[in-house]
Amino acid sequence: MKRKKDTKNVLTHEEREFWEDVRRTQAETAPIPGIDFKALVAESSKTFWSIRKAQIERDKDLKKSLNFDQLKEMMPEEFAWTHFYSNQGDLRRGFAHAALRFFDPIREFFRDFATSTLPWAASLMLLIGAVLLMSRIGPIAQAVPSLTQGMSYFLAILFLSVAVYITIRFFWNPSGVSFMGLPELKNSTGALVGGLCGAVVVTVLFGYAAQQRNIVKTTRAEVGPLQEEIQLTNTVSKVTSLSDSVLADNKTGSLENKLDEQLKNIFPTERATLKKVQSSDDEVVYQLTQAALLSGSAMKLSFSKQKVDVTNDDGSGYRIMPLTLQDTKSNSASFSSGTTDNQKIDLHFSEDEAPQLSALLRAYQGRQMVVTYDVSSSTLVGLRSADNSKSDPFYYNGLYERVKQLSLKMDASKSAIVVAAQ
Amino acid sequence: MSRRTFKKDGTVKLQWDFIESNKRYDRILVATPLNPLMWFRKDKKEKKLSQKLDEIENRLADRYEGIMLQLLRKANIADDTLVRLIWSLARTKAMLARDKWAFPRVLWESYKEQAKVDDSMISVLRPKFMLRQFVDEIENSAHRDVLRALAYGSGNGSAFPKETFTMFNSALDSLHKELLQQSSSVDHMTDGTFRAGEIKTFRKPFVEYRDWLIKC
Repeated sequence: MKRKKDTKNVLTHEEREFWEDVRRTQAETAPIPGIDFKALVAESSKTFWSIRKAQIERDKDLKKSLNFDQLKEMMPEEFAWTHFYSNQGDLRRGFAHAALRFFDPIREFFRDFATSTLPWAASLMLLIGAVLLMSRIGPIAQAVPSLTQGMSYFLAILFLSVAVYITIRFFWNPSGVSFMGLPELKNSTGALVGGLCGAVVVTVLFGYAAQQRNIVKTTRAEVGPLQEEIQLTNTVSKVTSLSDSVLADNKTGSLENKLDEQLKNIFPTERATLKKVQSSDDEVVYQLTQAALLSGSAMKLSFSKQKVDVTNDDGSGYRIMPLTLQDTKSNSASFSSGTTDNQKIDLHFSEDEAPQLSALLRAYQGRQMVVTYDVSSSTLVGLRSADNSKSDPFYYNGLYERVKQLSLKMDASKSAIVVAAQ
Repeated sequence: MSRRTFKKDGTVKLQWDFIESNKRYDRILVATPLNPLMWFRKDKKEKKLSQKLDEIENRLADRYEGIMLQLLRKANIADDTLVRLIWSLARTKAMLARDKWAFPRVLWESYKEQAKVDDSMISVLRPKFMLRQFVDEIENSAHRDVLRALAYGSGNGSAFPKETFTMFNSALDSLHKELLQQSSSVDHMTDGTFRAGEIKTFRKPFVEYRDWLIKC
C-alpha cells in the first residue's frame, strides 16, 4: 500500500518541469508591491476624462471667439492629448484628428447630421415621395389637383431616389469607413422604423382625407349648379307669393316693415341667413344664404314697388313684375311696363309650352298681369292675373314644373356619384 | 468550424464594449444640439456611460492584470505612473481605432511605447498576451479556470493538486479548439500574431501553447 502511494506521488521529468514553469509564472504575474493595478487603471480613466472635458470646454470657447492666434497656441496641447508623445503613425493621425476637429467644422456638422437628422430626413422624404406617388395611383388619383401629373411623378421619383440614396449611405459606405457607429445605428434603426411607421399612418390618413375632400369637391362641382338652380327656382316660388302682396299694395305702408316679417316666415333662421344690405323708401335689398347650398353662394332678393328680383351670385336670376300684355306671337309675347317710360319687354315661351301659351294669351290682350321671367334668357316662366286671384282661369306658373324636373336630374347625378365613389 | 458569437461576459465582448463605449462617451461629451439623439438628456447619458466604462475597465484590468504585470517585470519597471499612461494611451488609441478588434493591439502598442522597451525583451510574451482573450471563451469552466490560474496569475495562492498537470494539458486542447473556431478572424483578433493556417498545424500535446503560456 505504502509503495503504491509513493509511486503515485512521484513526478515525471515533464511534470517537474511543468511545476517549475508554473511557479516561475506565478511569481511573475503576482502583484508588484506598490502597484495596485486596478486602482491605477481606474485613476487613469478619471484623469483622462477630466483632461478631455477641460479640452472640450476650451475648444468651445475657442470656436466661439475664433481667435486664430490662440488657436495656434492651442494646437500643440490638442496634439499632445491626441497622440501622447508617440511614434510617427500616431503623430500623423493625432495631427489629422486635431486639425479635423479645429479646421473642418463642415465635416463635424455632417457627422452630427448623419447621426441625428439624417434618419428623420430620409423618413420624411420617403413619406413625401410615397404620398406623391400614391396621389397618382389608385383612388387618391385626384387628390393633388394643384400639381400636374408629370410634376407629381418627377417629384415622387426625385424624393424616393434621394431617400434610397441616403438610406444606402446610412447603412453602408463603400469607402470602408463606417459612416456611423453601432450605437448610433441602433438608435437610428428605431428612429427609421418609427419614422416609416409614422409615414405609413400619415399617408393613410392623408389619403383618406384627400379622398373625402375629393368626394365633396366632385359633389359640389356636379351637383352644385343643379342645386343652385333648384334653390333659385324654389326661392322664386316662395318670393312669388310675397311679391303678390308687395306689388299689389304698392301705394301704402312701409315696404321694409312688411317684408321683414314675411321673409322670416318664408326663410326660417335655421335654414337661411337673411341680411339686409340696402334699404330705402323705394327699394329694399336682402342677401340670402341658404344652409342647404353646397356652394355656399348667396342670393340677392331685391324688392321695390315696381318689381321683385331674385338674383344669383353670377347675375342669373328671375324678375317678377306687373306688365301689360301688348301682343302675342307663336313663340313669344310682348309686354309693356305701363309706367311713364312705357318700357317694352319681349319674353319667349319654352318650346313645349309655346302652342298652348300662344293660344291662351291671345285672349288676354291689353290686360295687366304679374309676370315672372328669366332675366338672362328673357324666357317667360310665370304668369298670373294682377288681381291676385288664384281662381282666375288663367293661372300659369312654370316654376313648379321646373323644380320637379331639376330634382329628378339631381337625384340621378347623386346616384352616379355614389356609384363612382364605391 | 468558424464561430461568430462570443460570450457575453467574455474578454472579447468586453474589449468591443471598451472601444465602443469610449467612442460613444467622447461623442456624448462633444455632442451639440445638431445631434439631438446624443444631446437629449446628455448629462444622464454621460453619467450612465461613465459608470459603464468604469465597470468595463475594471473587468478588463482584472483580466489583463497578470500578463501586464509580467510584462512590467520583464522590463524591470515598477512605476505606477507608467501604468496610468499605458491605459490613457490605450484609451486614446481605442477612440481612434477603426475596428472593434483593436483592443489587444492598442494595449500592446501602448505598453511598448510608454515603457520604451526593446521589442526583443517582450516579444516572447506577445502570443501569451494575445491568447488572453481566447481563454475566457473556453466552454469548459475547469479548463478555463486552470489556464487563468496557472498562466495569468489569477489563482488564490493555494497549492495546486497533482491532477492539475493533466487538467492543464486538456485545457490546452480546449484552447486550441477555441482558436480553430475563430480561425476566420484569429489573424485580425491577434494583430497577426497567429495565422489560421499556422494554428491548424498544431498537434497534441500542444507544446506551442504550453511554451507560450508558462515557459516564457
